[in-house]
Amino acid sequence: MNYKKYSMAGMAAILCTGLLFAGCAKKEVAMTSSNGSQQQMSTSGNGTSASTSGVNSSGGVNGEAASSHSVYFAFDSSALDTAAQSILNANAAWLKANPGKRIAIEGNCDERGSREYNLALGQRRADSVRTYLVKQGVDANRIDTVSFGEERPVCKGTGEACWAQNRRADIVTR
Amino acid sequence: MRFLLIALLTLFFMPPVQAAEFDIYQSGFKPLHLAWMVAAPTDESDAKQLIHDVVRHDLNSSRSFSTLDPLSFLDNIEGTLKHVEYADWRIIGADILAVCQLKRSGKRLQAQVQVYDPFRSKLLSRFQLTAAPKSERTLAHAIANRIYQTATGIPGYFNSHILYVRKHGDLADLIYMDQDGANKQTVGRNFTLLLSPDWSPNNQRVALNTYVGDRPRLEIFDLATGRRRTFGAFKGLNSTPEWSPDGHFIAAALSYTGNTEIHLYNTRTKKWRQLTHNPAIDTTPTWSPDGKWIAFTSDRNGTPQIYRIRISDGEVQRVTHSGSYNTSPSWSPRGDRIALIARKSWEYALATVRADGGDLRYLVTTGHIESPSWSPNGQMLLFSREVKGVRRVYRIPSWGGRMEAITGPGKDASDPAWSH
Repeated sequence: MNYKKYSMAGMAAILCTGLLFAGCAKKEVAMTSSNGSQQQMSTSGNGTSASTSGVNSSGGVNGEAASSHSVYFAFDSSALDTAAQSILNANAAWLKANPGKRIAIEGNCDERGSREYNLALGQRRADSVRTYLVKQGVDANRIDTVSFGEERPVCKGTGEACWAQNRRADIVTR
Repeated sequence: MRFLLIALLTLFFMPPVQAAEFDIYQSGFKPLHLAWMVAAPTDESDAKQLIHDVVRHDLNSSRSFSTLDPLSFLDNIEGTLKHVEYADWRIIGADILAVCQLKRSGKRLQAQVQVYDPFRSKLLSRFQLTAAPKSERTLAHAIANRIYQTATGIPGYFNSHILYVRKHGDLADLIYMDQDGANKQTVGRNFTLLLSPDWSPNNQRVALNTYVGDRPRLEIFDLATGRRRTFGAFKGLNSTPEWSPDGHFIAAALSYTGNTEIHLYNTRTKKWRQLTHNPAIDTTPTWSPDGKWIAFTSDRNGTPQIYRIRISDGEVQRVTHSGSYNTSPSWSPRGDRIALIARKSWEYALATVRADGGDLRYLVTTGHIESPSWSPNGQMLLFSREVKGVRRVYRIPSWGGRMEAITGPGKDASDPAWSH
């Protein structure tokens, strides 16, 4: 039941960056939130094949995983845009349907700026996601947060296409 | 062939890319010209060469001195030991003349040193130093310290040490070396992330930030024994430890309150207390040498800037006002200035600013510059700089000028920390 880790998520993000991103994310969410869990289970299955979101979602025992577990941020910002909020709504729904699950939110930054300041920024991103999920009714005690700052980039190159993928918070089961 | 040559020459003589964003500080500082000679019995030629070379390298690398070519000397050491002909040293422009006589007493190497000012026809100092067995480099650094202090009035730093982090794959090692790069050794291996090492005031321990089981924690690492002790493992962030000058406290940035704030760890009672209270990020604390203030990075006015807080009453003052991204403060051991990293659009610069916020000087730019750390006498700065994916540690005088890499191009190096 780990929908952990993201080589596929990174590829998805490449496809979804920039202008494409908002639309892409909204599409996935519409798919998960409008239909019942069984539907989602059957379409994205146990994660052996990549869905449109590209997330290697491992499906689950009780109810489906939301199809994206990463939200993205602007430079030096921890604000959640509407795309991010939609993704988090789906995740909150899954968490409420699976009350036994605990998650960690991992905050990350792009390589620009100070590594030490970015540790704090990554934490603020993780905390921002946590606060949002709690507002959606998820028990705060189920949510751990950690920041890796700029130490664990999904995309190791430079340039905005890469940085946009690295300014993110990932929701992982622990 | 000629075209190739011209092309090559063009490459070599192309001026360095000018920094568009930063006006680099131009200092009028001129190094002192030093004439340096060593005499030793004929069977001590190795020791003589070592002492001569290490002292010369120390003093040249400080940029406070420039050693003169011995070929220009009008007098030899034997004559000079008997009688200093000041005019002969003035003619070649020697601001300082230092002569050293080595002799062996048992296993110990002994150095008798005189330092002269030829322009004032004056003996400035005379001292004798003895090396412990097999510590001839240490003796050389001690000689360099005394010459440096005699000529500049500022203590030398040549017996100090440097720590830095070397990342390999997902793991990181802690590397230790003498300030001149000798005696390099790996003192800590295979940390999962290793950030912000900071020497205790007695140079025996290191506070650091590492991750265990994908959670950050603060540890004290004992350099003699290799023992590690966790002293901060709260929910959320545990980061950027820095010892107070008296060793009584370690300041660090924690986020268990829901927001990253500076906290103080009392190393005696082992209790923490919160120092800053602001909904913004407050991180990277650095102590003033009198222990009364902490400078830190905060984005309380929208973008990261340097602030300082008086520990006695919590009074906060903004230090940097220029530029939209200033981070990573490091307070000079002399107290007068704070080093920091500035970022403007695509460029980074190492800068220093007076502790009251005046006289901002950008010292070096180009590359991704991070982690300034002062020499114990406040005259030199270390920093890491990444160019084309390769991070190295560099050194530059606090008054600016040419930067010099002190780690090689082949291996990653970051987070330099200069001992006290």
